[in-house]
Order: sequence, then C-alpha cells, then structure tokens
Amino acid sequence: MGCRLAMSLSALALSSVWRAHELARSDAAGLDTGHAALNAVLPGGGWPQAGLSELLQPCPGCGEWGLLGPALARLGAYSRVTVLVAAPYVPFGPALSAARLAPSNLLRVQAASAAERLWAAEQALRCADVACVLLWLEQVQSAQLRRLHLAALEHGKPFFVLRPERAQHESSPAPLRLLLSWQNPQDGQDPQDGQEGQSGAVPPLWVRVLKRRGPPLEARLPLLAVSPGLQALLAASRAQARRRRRAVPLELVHAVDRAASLV
Amino acid sequence: MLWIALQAWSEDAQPVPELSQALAWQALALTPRVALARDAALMEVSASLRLFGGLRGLLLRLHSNTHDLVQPGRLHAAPGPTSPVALGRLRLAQPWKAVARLPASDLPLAVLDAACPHLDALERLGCRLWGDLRRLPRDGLARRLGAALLDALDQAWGDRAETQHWLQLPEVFEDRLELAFGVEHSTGLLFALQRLLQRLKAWLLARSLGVLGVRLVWQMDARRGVDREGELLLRLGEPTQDMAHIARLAAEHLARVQLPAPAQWLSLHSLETAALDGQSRSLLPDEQRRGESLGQLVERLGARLGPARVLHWQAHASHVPERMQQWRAWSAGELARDALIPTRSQRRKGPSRAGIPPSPPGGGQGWGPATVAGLGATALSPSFAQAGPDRDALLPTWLLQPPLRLSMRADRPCYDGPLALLVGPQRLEVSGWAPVAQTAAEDFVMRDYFIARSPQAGLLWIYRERLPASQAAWFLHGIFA
Repeated sequence: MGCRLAMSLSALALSSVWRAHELARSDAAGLDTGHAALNAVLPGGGWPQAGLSELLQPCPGCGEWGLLGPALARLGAYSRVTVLVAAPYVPFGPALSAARLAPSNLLRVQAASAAERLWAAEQALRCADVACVLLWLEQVQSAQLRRLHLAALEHGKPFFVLRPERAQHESSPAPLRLLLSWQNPQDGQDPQDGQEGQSGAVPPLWVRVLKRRGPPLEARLPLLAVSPGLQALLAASRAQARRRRRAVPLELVHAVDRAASLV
Repeated sequence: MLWIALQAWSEDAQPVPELSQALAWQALALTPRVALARDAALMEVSASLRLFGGLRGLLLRLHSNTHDLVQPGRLHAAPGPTSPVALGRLRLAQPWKAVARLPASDLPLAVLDAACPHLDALERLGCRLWGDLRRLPRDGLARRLGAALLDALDQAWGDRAETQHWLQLPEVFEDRLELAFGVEHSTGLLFALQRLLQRLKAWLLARSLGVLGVRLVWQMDARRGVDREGELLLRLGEPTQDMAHIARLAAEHLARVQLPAPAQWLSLHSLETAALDGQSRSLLPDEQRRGESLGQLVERLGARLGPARVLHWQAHASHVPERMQQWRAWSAGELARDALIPTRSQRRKGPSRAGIPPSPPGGGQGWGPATVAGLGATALSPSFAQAGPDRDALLPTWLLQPPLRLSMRADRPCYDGPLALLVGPQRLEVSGWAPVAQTAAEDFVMRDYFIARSPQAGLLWIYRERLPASQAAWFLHGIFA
C-alpha cells in the first residue's frame, strides 16, 4: 500500500512536494551560477529565480563577486539594475566590467542602520527595473528577513543577503544558505603547499551548503572564484617562482626583499 | 441637445461641491462644452455621443476616467434636454433611471436656482412644481417675481437660448484648501495633500501632461509671531501622473518639517510640467510591469536617506586606481534615466570601458593621459605582461577608499595574519606637468603593487609607498572577492 502510494506520488511529480532524500524540483529552472559544481547541488540547477538566498562569510569581501558574478552578469544583460545596499567596500568598476558585469547597471545605496538597510532593500525589491538586490547585514531578526523574502517572491527577484559567519546558528527563512570561506578547515594544512598545477596556484573558494531543499550536504565544494586572467597570472607567477627556486637553491629571495632592494 | 449634470458624493451620501471642478476637468476629455454650476458640473454631450459609442459608452468612459477621483458608486449623474432640467433632476438625489424620464413640469421648485429666493412666496401661491409656475400668467409673474425667473423657465423648456460660461483649463495648476482645523504636525498635512493631489491629477489628465515639480505651501496662524508661510518644493526626475509617488515623496520630506504654528491653509502649485510619453501596452497580459520605475525608486531612497547616499557609477580616465571611477549621487534634474541604464547601442560595445568620457576639464588634478606613466607601462614583473591585454581583469573587485594601512610584523605586512606575496611588484608612477609647488602631495603616486594572499581574507591587492625606507608603509587597497 505504502509502496503504491509512493509510486503514485512520484508519478504525479508534484513540483511543490519534495522528499527529504532528493533535491527539490522546481517549475522554473534556477539561475545558472556559472559554476558547474555548484549547479549540481542546488535545487533547480542554480540560484533561485525569486526569493531570498543567504551567503555567510567570515569577513566581508570573501568571494561574493566571484560566486555571484556570472549570475549577476546574466541578470544585468537586459540593462536592468542590480542594487547594492550597504556594500562593505567600494565596488571597483573596471574589474567588474572585465567580469562582464556592467558597473553602470549598479545602484549603490549607503545605509547605516539596520532599519535603513532593510527599508532600502524592500523598496528596491518593489521596483520593476531592478533585476537583483544584494544586501549586507549584521544583525537581523528572522521575521524581518521573512518579510523581505516574501517581497522578493512576490516581485520575482533573486535576493541575496550577505551576513557574517556567526549567523549560521540563527534560524533563517532563506530556502538556500551557503557558507563561504577561503580556508578549508577539514584539512588544516595550507593548500598552497604540496599541490601542483594551476589549481594549486589559485586558492579555491570553499562553499558549504548549510541549507537547501534537499538532503544535507557535508562536503565543501572548491570553486574557482577568480577571473581567468588572474588565474593565469597566479599560475605564471608560481611557475616563475619555482624556476627561480630551482636555479638558485640556496638563496631564497622573497618578493618583499626584492622590492626593498629596488628602492 | 443632451445635458448631463455630475456630482460627487461623500460616503454619507452628501454632495461634495469641491470636487465639481475636478470632475469638470475630467469631463473635458469627453466634450469641449463643459460648464460649472453652483454645486455640480455640467456637460453637453450631443456632439460626442457617436464618438464614444452612444450614451452608455460615454458614461462608462466617464466612470473609468473618474474612478480614482470618486469612489465607485459615488458619482451621481442625471440627464436632461436642457441644463436646468439636468441640474434639477440631479438635485433630486435619486438614481439615473428614476429621474431620466421625469418631465420638467414635475420637478419641484426647490431645485431651480432662479426660484430659490422666492420659494416662500411661491409656496403661498400654491406653486410647488415647475409646471405650476409655467401655467401662471407671464406678465404678472414677471412683475411680481422678476424677469429672471421667467427666463430660467424658458431656458428649462428650451424656448430661450442658454448662456453658459464654458470651462477652460488653466495653464498652471493652482489650488488651495482650507484645513478644517489647525494642523500642528507636518504629517497631518498629508491628508489634505491627498485631496489636492486628486485635483492635480484631474488637471494633468485633462491636459495630457506629467508633472515635473510641485510647490506645496502652507499658511499658518498669523497670531503666533512666526513666519506666516512654509513651503516644500518637490522635483521629479521624469514627468509623472502617479500621485501616490508624489504623496510618498512629500511624506518623506514633511516628516522632517517642524510647524512653528498650526497650519490653516494648504495650497499646491504646479511648477513645471512636460508632455507625457505614452506607454506602450503589451500584447500579452502577463507582461505588464509590476512595481514602480527606477526613477521613482531613486527619488524615494534619496528622500529618506539623502541624495548623496544613492550612487551610480561613472568611468573616469585615469591610471590611478582610485580615480578610475566615480560614484556619483543620482540627482533628478541633471541626470536622465538613460544615463544610468545604457542604451542598446552603448551596450553593443560590450562591457569594456570603451565609452569612458574624457576627464572633466575642471577636475582639479591637471592630469592628462599623456602625462601619466601607465599602469602597464612600467610594470616591472614579467608575469604581468604574460597575463594578456585585458589588464582590468587583474584588478580587484572591491576597492578600499581610503586604503587601509597595514601593520608590520618582522618586515612582512599583516592583515589577519602575515601575508604571502604571490605576484609583484607592479610599479605605478604618476606625475604631472604642474609645478611641484602647486600640486598636492597626494597627486604624486609612486607605488609598488602586489597581489598577496591571506589565509582568511583570500587574495588581496596591497601596495607599498615608494618612499625612503624610514617612511615606507604598506597599504591594503583592494580585495579580489
């Protein structure tokens, strides 16, 4: 009987019903994240098209552009505006435009208090010309986030909230929560040593899926969150340093020392 | 001839004569022959019936035009072959169907303007209806009650031509409202403002205009020995007929206004208007825009947070990283919406910095591109040259302004622990033609840039000032996020 019920459920393929051991299906395909490894573990194969997603970082400026950049570039393709509320630093336009993210489509809102930030984000979500809203927050109540989540759902916009790492133990209405880090605490060693090739030269951004519509995921995903040009530069620089180390094995010249000798 | 008299009613079924003018402005969209009566608006529609699909179509159009001025079901109208009959039927305060076929001779005398001064005398004569009065001998009536009453009767029956002052739209909107009681808090003005905005919208609709700026003036109690007037100017980035948006903006500004004395009058003037572009409608019903426009969003954010905190990006030709861009306040007047959103032709150029405007002539720095030793030109490290032509991809996505001075530990810069230098140095030197005495110290830039790695914070963009060794210092300038 139970087996038949399960079969009929799967035959129905209700999009709004998901069983805990499999990824949720969604009617609308997700927004391509630009990272294949991340697409594979997200329901719908990408960022949610509408609603709140939470990114937790140990410090502000931890891989958010590399992670969100490809999706934001795609969203901004129709000259719709991405609103940054209370960004921690100044977005650097030339680098963003090199990542195909038109900086002229960014609207930067400086808001000091949490109430102002929440208000500004809600106003931005209600605007028809806005494609996406990014909000940096420290302390927030779950009810306030839920209100913004509902506004994002109603107006069909992806909405990303960037919060500090310690917020991972608080409850959140976000259906998707990711923890970003440049460090992988599972292997305590510095990944710079002992690895070969280009992937060793570029520190990966470790992404842990804290919460998703699907089974829990313990593994951390290493993503290459820097631009291809920078990857090539880092790899070339590493190869050069290794050649120099082989040529002059005794004299270990550090970059700082070389610069000091130039002055 | 077909006359229609219009009146707006309040929720407790009382006529609201103040709305007659706004109603009349709306009626001008349907016929050019509109006049104002004491308590109602009058429109003569015989020439417009065919255009709007008969009387029924015309009334439907009238209701849809006035639906945000008058609540549904509160617009009362009555027809008549002449304007006194239409007015008289309207003043009976009965539904259209009940009065539409009521003959003029059965109307009570109380609803005829010309008969109002003589109601007592007519009552003693035994006249209650218009028909009773018409059956009286004309010369005796004219001798006792005046010729004006006879003229009014003749006009009602159509025996005599009517003279009307046809309504014309004013060039500038100006309206004032007496507040029912002294308003002591500025937010209390909002309720009265809503009513003025309703009339402004009727005027804008009739003229097919959008408003670009309004002036709100409140007059205060003169006895308090303070300024008699206070005013609020609202400027909008694009012409609009959206009164809700203006009301929200006014609410943000009024929340910061202190009224020194109770306000007694409120008036609204239109400062500037512009023709309103039509809005193209979508063939598909679900493609309709939901939500407000970007201009409205920016104005609302600026009204509460301050215009200097809502910023948009502008490229700037310079080799110094912090001068490559400017985040400018979005101001409604000088910047069209197109400047924020690139047009289709601009977008086709791709996201490169092809469309950089030249540096402003009064920029105050006195640099031209020719005087600058470029970022790539003096790159010392060969690995920068290997990275390909697109040097912008090697710049960090976050910039720290001002740069953060790093602490030193054992000759190594530290930021969340000691930093490992991966790439560099990349030398940046900027100097100019201006004499040394006239340029500020920050105009000379001599830096060696490095890409460093912090275990916690990832890839960082740091530089060292090229100064004598005692003053050398390391700064964090960007984060590759």
